[in-house]
Amino acid sequence: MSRPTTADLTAPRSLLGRPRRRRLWRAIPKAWRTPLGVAAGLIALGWLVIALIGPAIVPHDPLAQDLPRFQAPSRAAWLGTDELGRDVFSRVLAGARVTILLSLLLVLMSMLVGSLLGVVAGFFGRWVDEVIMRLTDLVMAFPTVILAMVTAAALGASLFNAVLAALVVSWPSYARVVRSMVLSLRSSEFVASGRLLGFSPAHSMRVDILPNVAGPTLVMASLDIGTAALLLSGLSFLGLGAKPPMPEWGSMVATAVQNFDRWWLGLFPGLAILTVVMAFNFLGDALRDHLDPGAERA
Amino acid sequence: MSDQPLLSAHDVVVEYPGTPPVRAVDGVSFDLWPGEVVGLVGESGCGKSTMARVLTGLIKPRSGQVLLRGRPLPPLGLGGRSPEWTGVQMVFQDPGSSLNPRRRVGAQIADGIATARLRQAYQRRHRAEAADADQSADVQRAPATPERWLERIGLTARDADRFPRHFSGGQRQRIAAARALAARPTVLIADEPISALDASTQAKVAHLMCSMASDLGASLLLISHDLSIVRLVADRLIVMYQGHVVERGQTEQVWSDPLHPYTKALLGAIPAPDGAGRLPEAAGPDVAYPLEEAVRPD
Repeated sequence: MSRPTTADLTAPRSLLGRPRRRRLWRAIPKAWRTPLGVAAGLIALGWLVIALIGPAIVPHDPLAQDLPRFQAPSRAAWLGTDELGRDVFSRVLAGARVTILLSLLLVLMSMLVGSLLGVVAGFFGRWVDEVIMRLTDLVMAFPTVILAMVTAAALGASLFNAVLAALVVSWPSYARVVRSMVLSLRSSEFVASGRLLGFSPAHSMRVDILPNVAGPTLVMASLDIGTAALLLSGLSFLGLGAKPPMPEWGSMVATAVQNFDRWWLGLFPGLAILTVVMAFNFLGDALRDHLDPGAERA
Repeated sequence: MSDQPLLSAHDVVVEYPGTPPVRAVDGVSFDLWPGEVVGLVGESGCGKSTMARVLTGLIKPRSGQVLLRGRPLPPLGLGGRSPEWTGVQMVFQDPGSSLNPRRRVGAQIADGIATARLRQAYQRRHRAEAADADQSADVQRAPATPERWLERIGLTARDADRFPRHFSGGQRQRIAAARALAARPTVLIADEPISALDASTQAKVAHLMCSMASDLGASLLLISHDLSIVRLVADRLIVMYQGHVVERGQTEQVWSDPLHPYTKALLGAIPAPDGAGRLPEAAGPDVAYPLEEAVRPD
């Protein structure tokens, strides 16, 4: 009789599903295998799903004013109702679409605009660099929220203008970071080797520079999603973003401020903002650890 | 040997901005003949690396010129380098940054092979001078794929799919040399390619680089502060001190009968493993040597 192999010994355990679970665990990249990374991933994924299918799963129409006003959380209205008799739970779920999708769009746009200008400034240098960098100095000289408020107020209160205002204040940080990375990469030895091999500037940029810039920029973007959500909600809170009756977390908190004794009005949209911001921040941290070239990879 | 030097520097002066400007290279002239290995030696900061960058066109000299086969080598600007000039290649000092960390080494060596093909096509189109055409015919036996190149430098074909971080410093320098030589250069400039490696790897890498260069018929300018290694591989030596050439000659001549006091000090600073426990004579920073070249009577 042959000796039992390791596979034989572990076979009964597979019936309990443990190795399978371990395989699933190992499928997660090492840097993400932290409690915070996993929790953040699950929360962010949950909110993304809600943002995508929210209107299909809301128990009530988020705009319908057919419930009793100022009803505390109960079995009929899980998170209570607001000053017009609308279901807070449905409004929080529907608000995810506005805040999360617009935050993602905002971050994507600032990353594209900022990175493009940063690459151009870093690669071509001289007066091109001077012009772009002085422009970033100009924007960065103002406090972010104040400048976004001024821009949104000047453009007129609407969600589109709020995103535009947020874009105006958020691209310079990408431009600066990408420019500094391109500057240091441009003088690095492998880029010089490529140039000596006859790489054109565009080829050098595509092959040697952009792949080395992409990782840190993506990390920055993922860390920025939370900030973007906060900025957009902030603008709506000030009445410069979403207009009533659109369900939006910032404007829901603003309503709650008028009715301070009805705690459920502000608590739940506030918690929604908090969980989204924290989840995307932790996700950004995990992504940074994952993409860090210095980190040891299994 | 042909009657025209392959690469020659004429009265090259390089200044770095500052108050006052730092003159890193001050009127250096020398020739590199086809097929020879020349060692450029001197202490740190004497202008060796600056000279290497001038010879490849990475730095534009303040005055003087670099000629490749009698034609001025254009400095590398923002545009790409024409295939006409890709016959000058360089291997850099730092094994950590001489390869793109985000590309597989096979793809990076393939860049060199593509450069060689482009130059051959260019030469066929433009009916390049006979010497260059001969050289191309001579190097038909060069490895034709990245896998063959990796085998030539002592790695395996499977390593082509790996990233630079999977290799040691010595292996990375060999890969960087393979990449430069895959472009089938007529001149390879190696700027301290072995100084970041441990003692046992240094000689191995230096020998491999020299044998590959000679197999391909390329001239090699080996820049180093380590005279004991350069002595083993170079046909001729050029000694630089404070931006000037202070001595030149056949390697054995300079080694056994140095003329310039600085060369004598440089040779005296080589530690002797004779068990006597003597420290090498070190030239103090306050010692000033004459900057005039010691000319050897023929």
